[in-house]
Amino acid sequence: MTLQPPRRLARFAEPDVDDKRIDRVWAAVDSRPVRSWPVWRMTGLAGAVLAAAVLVLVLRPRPKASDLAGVVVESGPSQTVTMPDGTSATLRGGARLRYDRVQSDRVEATVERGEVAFDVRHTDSRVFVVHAAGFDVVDRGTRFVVGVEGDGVHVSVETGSVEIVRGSEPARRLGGGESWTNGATATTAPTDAASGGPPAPLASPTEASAAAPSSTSVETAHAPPVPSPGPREILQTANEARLAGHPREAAAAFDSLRRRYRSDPRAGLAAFELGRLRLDSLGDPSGAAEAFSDSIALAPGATFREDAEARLVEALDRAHDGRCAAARKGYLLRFPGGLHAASVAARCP
Amino acid sequence: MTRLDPQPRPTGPSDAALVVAARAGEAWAREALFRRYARMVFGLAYRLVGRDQEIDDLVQDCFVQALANLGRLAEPQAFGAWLTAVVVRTTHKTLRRRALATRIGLRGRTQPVDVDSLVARGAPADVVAELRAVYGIIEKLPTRARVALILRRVEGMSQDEVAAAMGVSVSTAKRSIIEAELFLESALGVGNPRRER
Repeated sequence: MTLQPPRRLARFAEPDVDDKRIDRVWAAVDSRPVRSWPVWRMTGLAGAVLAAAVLVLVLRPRPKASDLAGVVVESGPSQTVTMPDGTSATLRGGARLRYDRVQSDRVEATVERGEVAFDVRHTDSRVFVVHAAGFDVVDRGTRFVVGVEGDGVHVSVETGSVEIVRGSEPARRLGGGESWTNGATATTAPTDAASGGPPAPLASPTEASAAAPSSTSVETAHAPPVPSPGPREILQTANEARLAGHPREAAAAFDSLRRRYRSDPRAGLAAFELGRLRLDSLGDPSGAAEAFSDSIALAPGATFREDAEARLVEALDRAHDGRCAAARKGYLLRFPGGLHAASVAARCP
Repeated sequence: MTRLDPQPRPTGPSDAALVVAARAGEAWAREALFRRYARMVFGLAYRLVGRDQEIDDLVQDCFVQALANLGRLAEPQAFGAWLTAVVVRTTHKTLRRRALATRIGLRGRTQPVDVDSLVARGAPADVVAELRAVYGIIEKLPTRARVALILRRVEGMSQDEVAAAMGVSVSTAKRSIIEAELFLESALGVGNPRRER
């Protein structure tokens, strides 16, 4: 007995593809930027950019990594300290910030008093830690604010995430739109762009006193408002990160979009994509269930509603969540002949 | 010849005309190419991955890459065959990345393919048996052998077509097919498979 000669079996294994599904994928394809340059031109440009980058790296005067170490900055109403890589710290009225250590692989600063807004250019090879009244706030690619008043500490994250650590206690992770104080935890999700925008504009500048030596490379400036990316840019960033195989970055961007622009028509899709990334790539079924639920709440009439409900059941099942049966029942009631009816019915037995 | 010929035969502009218009920046032509081939790409991706729930992103990625790289297509009339190769290589990359993520513990082990939901009702028994055997072993195969096996035994491609779609030499394609068919033999309980050398 031998294997059958190869034959075409494909027609016996076709997916269910309806027009809605095609429309949805086309909408996603169409929203991606098109690179229509010929290959030779792209290659030439890439070569030129690479050569320029190498030249810049070789020829640029290298700032000493420790230029800022030991510098204490004290502000009147406001002041911004910008590091060579663009990382900035904006001191709000009466704040005092000390740079304890500034090296290529680690930066440590202490907020001694008042409120400081950090906008950190994150790199995997560098750790950025802010000390505040016994707590360590560890940057994970972020814009965040740390405030100290006596023994009280508060941290609020605008985008990205931070970890708050004290001694051997388990780290607490804060994501975009969340805030925390050491007196009580308060987690809030802003409901619109206005609440998720850049740190509040600073008070009118007055004289600032900096104890930095005059030879230091620190640039000081009164803080300009930082333009915040809009939903379209965030969606594009998320899609590019996903396409490049960086699901964690893509998830962070989708999460940011749905939290910051909840009234935007793309918020529901962002929540749905976030759920899929958490479930399929990040091994986080509980987080995925939360995102799918949010997607359904944000866009109850969307074309992906059925998919979102089916994936919600799958996520709850994989998270061994007791709400799975109710979600399954809801799906089967609303979509009795749905595309995913068979797989949903088999969930959370 | 392409296995990704649109069905039924399209009316309207030819593939070559659409490709030329799309290259010139005509958005309608890009959309027309997408809609002409969407179902076929869904089908091929579905059979390569073996499950329906994970292919929307993949189809999206395939079209984004294809439409962004139309300038590389030397023969606009061969869009279908070229798109087949884009789908196969993109899926191959995705599967390889997932396998790596699973190996290093970043991703849970992939569930076996649910053949009952994959195979159409009313398929002949011998077809069901062969598909069951093929999809029963694919998770155990190296990614390249997995892709080669599906192209050969499910899509019914010749060895030359498998090689072209995967962007490898014919001898590499043959080796991958033979490797996979040895597993398949074992799954079907048969020996001495008839292979084209």
